[in-house]
Amino acid sequence: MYEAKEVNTMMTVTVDPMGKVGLPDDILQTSHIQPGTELVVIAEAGKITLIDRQGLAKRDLRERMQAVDGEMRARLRHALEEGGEESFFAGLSLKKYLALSEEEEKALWTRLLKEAEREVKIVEHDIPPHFRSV
Amino acid sequence: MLNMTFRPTSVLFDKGTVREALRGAVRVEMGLSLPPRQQSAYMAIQALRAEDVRLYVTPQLLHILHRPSNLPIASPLLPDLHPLTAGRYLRRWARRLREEGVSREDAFIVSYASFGLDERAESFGTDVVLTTDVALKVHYETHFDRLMERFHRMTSQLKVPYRDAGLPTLITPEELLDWLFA
Repeated sequence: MYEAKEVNTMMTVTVDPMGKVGLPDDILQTSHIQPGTELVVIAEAGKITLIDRQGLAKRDLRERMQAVDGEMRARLRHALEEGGEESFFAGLSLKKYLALSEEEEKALWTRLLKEAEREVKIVEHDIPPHFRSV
Repeated sequence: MLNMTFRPTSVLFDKGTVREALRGAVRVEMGLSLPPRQQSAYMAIQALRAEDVRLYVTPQLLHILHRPSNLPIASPLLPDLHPLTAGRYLRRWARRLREEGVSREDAFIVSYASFGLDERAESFGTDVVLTTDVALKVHYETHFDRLMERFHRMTSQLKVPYRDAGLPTLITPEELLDWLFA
């Protein structure tokens, strides 16, 4: 899901006297880069890399999401190591929680929310004039 | 209702999103496969965190997550959540929403997205409600013009800052991911 397939195509092109390079159709098709696509140009000695700017942003986001995933799971592991496996959620062990059907789990959250609504009353507060609406 | 220039800075999660995402986090950690809805909710939260979006739940949902008996399941998400408190007129707008056919629970969530108060950020309302409730989203969007009219009629009578309140965009985790990775 949301993973691009990597297919490599290699071709030789020649820089013309004006310093321009035409990109063959096969290269454009394989890279999913179309005329008009904004590219980031990265130059090194003997090497030029062209990257779809939006693609680069998506890859960067995927990497940051992986880091977040690692952090969230580390928190969960820590909670389980601290004894959370026996009392994981609403008095259920992790094993019993995982055994709940979707309907049972939905019903459990609905019951908990009803309890919370009784315990946490809505008390309205004045919003100071300098607070901004997002 | 999403366009490419839309960049949410604050998102309120409904109960279904939190439930699906936490279930997803647990199943991933246990090496189990994820049903699509759990995967979408979990990934949507990862994406929002990765984008430094301010994340909220209602005080009632936060109360559930803060209970000692629920801390293990809440642990992946709890440190990232910011509290919203009820601002004035939250109840009034929730009543109007209910008159337009929105359920009690959903009416309060949508109303928190307009009049929920973040003391630390000195702001109120959220750009987006992230919901797994497709029926709510369809109802909200189908009746949006009417809701906007009633909202404007109500807020235009109020003083600053209440008259600056806005209505949120309702999106599902799947829509958020499609939009981010389109």
